Amino acid sequence: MIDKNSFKDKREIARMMSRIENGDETVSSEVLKYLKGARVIGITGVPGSGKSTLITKISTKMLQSGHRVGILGIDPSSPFSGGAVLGDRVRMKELNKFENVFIRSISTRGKIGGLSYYTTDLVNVLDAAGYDTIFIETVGTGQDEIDVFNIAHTVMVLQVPTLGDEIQVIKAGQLEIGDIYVVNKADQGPADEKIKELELILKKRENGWQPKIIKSVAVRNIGIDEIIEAIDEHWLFVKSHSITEKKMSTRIKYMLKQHALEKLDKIMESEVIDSYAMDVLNGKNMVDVVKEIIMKVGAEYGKGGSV
Amino acid sequence: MRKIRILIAKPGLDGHDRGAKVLARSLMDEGFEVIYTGIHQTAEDIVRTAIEEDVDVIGLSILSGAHMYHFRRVLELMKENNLSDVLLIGGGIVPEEDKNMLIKMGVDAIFNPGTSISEISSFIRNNLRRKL
Repeated sequence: MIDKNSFKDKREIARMMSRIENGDETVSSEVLKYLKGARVIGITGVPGSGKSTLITKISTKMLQSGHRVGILGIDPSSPFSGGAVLGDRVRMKELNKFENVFIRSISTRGKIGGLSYYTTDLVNVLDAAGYDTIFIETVGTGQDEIDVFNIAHTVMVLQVPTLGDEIQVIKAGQLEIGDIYVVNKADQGPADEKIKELELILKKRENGWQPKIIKSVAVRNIGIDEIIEAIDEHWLFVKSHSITEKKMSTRIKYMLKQHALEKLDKIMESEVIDSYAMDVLNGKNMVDVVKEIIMKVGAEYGKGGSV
Repeated sequence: MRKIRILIAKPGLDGHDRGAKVLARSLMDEGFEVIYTGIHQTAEDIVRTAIEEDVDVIGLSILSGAHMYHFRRVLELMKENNLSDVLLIGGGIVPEEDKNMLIKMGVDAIFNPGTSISEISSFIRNNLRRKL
């Protein structure tokens, strides 16, 4: 079983993560006893906007100043084979010279929204293991990839100058959840125009925080200090406005929802659902069918413990 | 059933990564989770990644001729870190006599050019040291 010493060895931590990813909910609950309250930073943005590179540059400086950094890099699973190519580490090679960093690549395993079902649980493991700053790199598919907002204290949204006109900026989704907006690859297009567009729409958040907009060229280390400053400033804001407590309850609620959803999705994607579909087509009232499905989820779960 | 995780890495000064990329992609199509690290990895990088990612298999792609050195070093570090339940396999340009020596040293399999993906994936499924 898990105790304090379980978090001292990287191999044990990694094994714990695998057990969680394979549905062992006892591990997920045990870990909660050891949470230390790390700050969690989510990074989202379209594929190729520079998320991995930016995390690497920021982490390097944070590691140099004594932080312990955890990184969860999420990539999509294949809808056909269920397999995945997880490639976030390719850009993170230079972090290998630091001992105090733990990087884990995660497949979404069929989940949409930018995270895997168990990303929250894996954040908890890194937190319990004493990584005081945890980065979550979302899949990077686009506009409605906003799940990370439930877990992260600070959400950073990456933009690149060349994509989209001003209409893209006024749409709902990613551009509502950011605490810090980074226009990366600023040397590759009209970055200042992008910043102007963002300035027009980014109003103060409900909690009083005015989102920051920063220009960067991550590969050349330009803008990294400013981004770290903004992250630190936002963390101070979060702590002084008692957002951390609220966030913890949001995080746990989100985690529970994912655990429940995973069970539901599994049933809905199995052949069990075929007969229900026929029932509905043959005129059975959906009220009864949906109720039956939900009962079925409960019954199946009861059978095997972890499904 | 749990997902099988495979690390694909290219050790040392060898930039020919097309084979490794094709393999990563093909193993994905076989349903595996493949952690791809890219080129210029040291043995230390590889073993560290294997630990953090909790992989079942380490696969090295080497076309530079330095396979004896890299496999020996990775095996040493695997032993130091108690990774005895992780499979070590490799692919690339490896002469037959070297292949035999590598197998004797403790490498689980070497796949030469022309090997089919199904051969590699069934080797992995049939030889896993950790239970599914």
